[in-house]
Amino acid sequence: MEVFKIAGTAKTPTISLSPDGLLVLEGRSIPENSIDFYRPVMEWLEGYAKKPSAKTVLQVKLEYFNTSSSKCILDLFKKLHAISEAGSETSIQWHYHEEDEDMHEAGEDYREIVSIPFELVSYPS
Amino acid sequence: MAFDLSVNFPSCDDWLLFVRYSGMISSAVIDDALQKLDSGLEEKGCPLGFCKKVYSIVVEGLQNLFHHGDTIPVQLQEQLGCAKNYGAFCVGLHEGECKVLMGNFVDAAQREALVERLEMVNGLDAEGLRVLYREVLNNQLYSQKGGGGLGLIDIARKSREQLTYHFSPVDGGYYFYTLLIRIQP
Repeated sequence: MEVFKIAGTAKTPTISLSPDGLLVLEGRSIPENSIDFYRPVMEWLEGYAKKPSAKTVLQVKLEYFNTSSSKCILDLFKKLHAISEAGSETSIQWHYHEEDEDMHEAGEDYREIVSIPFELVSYPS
Repeated sequence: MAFDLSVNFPSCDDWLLFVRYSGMISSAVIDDALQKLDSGLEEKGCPLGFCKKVYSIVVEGLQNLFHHGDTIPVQLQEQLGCAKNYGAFCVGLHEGECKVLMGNFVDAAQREALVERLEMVNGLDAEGLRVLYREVLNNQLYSQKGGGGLGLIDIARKSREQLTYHFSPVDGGYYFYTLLIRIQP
């Protein structure tokens, strides 16, 4: 499988998906139509799920995300659950600024819903 | 009968404005507004948590206007200069808090659905909104417009204040819907 990379813009995140199991989502996710944006990401993950690495880690470091993205992000997390069922040791790291209580709370929302290891990681100013 | 925005939408003249606009809501208009807001908040030196809350709420509100503001009474389209996506918004500081005011046309069915949703979110405390948000996030399918019904819940949750709304009747069974969101620093 090829590495999947999208450069970030003012409204869409930087995405880096590697077949060695390191997946990164960072920046801002506020496009008007998130479904179109995340479609190729989901397609890549479906391909990866057929032969995943022994270990898969998704690092999420978002500054903002809109509610349209929130559902796509949850779908992404649910896809990771499928990857863990395929035998990969899978986890999510949710990074948030220590002063950003909303992003911390968003991480807690996902942690409650998602059934794979989910770590909240704060970073300082 | 002509539509007079000044009658149906407050001028916000006494606010310390970050951005104010009325007209067709496009992706470019949203981008421009967010850029001005970003600069304005940075210039004011607002605390990071407050800035992020304001920015997130405005993103959600403007994208709601974009996605759901496609109802315009036919008889007003020529006057307003657009056939769809007419909206108005103001964001600024007033009386020690940040205020976000948005307006767009809705029909009777949309008004009914909005009232139901607004009364529901206004009737919930922080914990209730948290539970509702998680339930809708996890259980609801995407709407036709790509959202998931989370927009107002998210706004209510982040603002932590009651959402104030008003529907002004307009010709032909339509209403001009205004929503005021207040954010405490």
